Amino acid sequence: MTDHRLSPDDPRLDALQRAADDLPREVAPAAAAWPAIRARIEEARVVPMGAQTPTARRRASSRWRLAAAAAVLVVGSSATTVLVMRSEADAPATAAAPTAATTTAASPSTPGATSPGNVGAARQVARSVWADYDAASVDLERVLQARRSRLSPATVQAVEESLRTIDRAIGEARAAFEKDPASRDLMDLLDSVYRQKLDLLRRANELPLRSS
Amino acid sequence: MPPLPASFSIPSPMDDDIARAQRGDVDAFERLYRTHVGRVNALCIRLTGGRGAEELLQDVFVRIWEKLPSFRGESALGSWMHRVAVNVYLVSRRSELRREARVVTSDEPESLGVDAARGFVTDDPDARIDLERAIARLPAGARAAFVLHDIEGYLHEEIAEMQGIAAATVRAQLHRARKLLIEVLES
Repeated sequence: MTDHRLSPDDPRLDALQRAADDLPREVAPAAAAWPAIRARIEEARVVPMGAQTPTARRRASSRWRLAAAAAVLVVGSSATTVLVMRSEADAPATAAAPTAATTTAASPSTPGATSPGNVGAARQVARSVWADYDAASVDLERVLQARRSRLSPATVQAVEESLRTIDRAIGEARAAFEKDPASRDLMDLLDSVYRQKLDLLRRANELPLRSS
Repeated sequence: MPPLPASFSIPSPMDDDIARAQRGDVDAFERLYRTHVGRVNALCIRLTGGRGAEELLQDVFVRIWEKLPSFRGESALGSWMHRVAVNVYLVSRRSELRREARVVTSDEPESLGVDAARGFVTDDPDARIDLERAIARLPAGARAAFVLHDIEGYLHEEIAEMQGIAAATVRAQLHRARKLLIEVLES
């Protein structure tokens, strides 16, 4: 093989770059590509994290309706309550919700409690919902981590303290729920706190970055 | 996050379709797909050398669908999709490298199998095809470096960050790719 040493000013590099620049920027896909993608999306029930159809939202709202959670807030500090209530007031209409898995549970007939026959199912569904929330949180936390060095230290501290508070409340509420899986209030409380966590992460990820 | 390549610009998508797709509207997502698929498909073909490009394209758009709610509009949707495509490719390539040897690893230009006589005459469609073929037959690392840097406009440091390797390694792979392509197309 001939020895072709390339120096930065080698005219062949310019020629190669021109050839690369001249390559088509778009290539039409096979006709079958979109049907296959759509089938994978629909058959696998791949729902965008944080998204629900209006119908699913209505059903989820019905099942997961917020209760007067503060009365049973043995799981959270008053600071958490303040944070949750304030964030609730500020929360955008597009607040995150878990995936369609939330829509499959049977609705309990009595407010504030789940009938004994449904306790096992409720616990299973709740865990599925929380797994969805956790997955969504992980994604948003990754984004936050990537932006962290370009946020002000005060902002980072405030966000991280809020997240610690929320995570503590989630942990305590989940522990309480494991002891009392018939409590729909606890489920509702957890749903609410998880939503606040996602909302906090979203808003943190929308904060302007420092220029340097 | 480093800036996206300035050379990557595509028509602006409909914000309404983005919002609808983020809420789970597959029809809106299809419109976004139609707008951007040509560019993403070209990238998939070049990164894979054509082997498994169709499967990669599907994986990329399924992943885009999954991740779309996290798109905050800080960059153009096309640039964001582009980044997702590169990430999906890199993940699949890591898996591939773990389970099988690469198809072409030779530094011998004749192994790239192009019509060397055609050279770089870029207004000649056949020459473009030859360059595409030569790119497709590059070793995977060199190919990724060439495609991402010389065609897509990413910086060495961006490519290094995406692949989890040193920028010096990217430069070495790029040099290798250019050298091989020049030898093949010029000889």
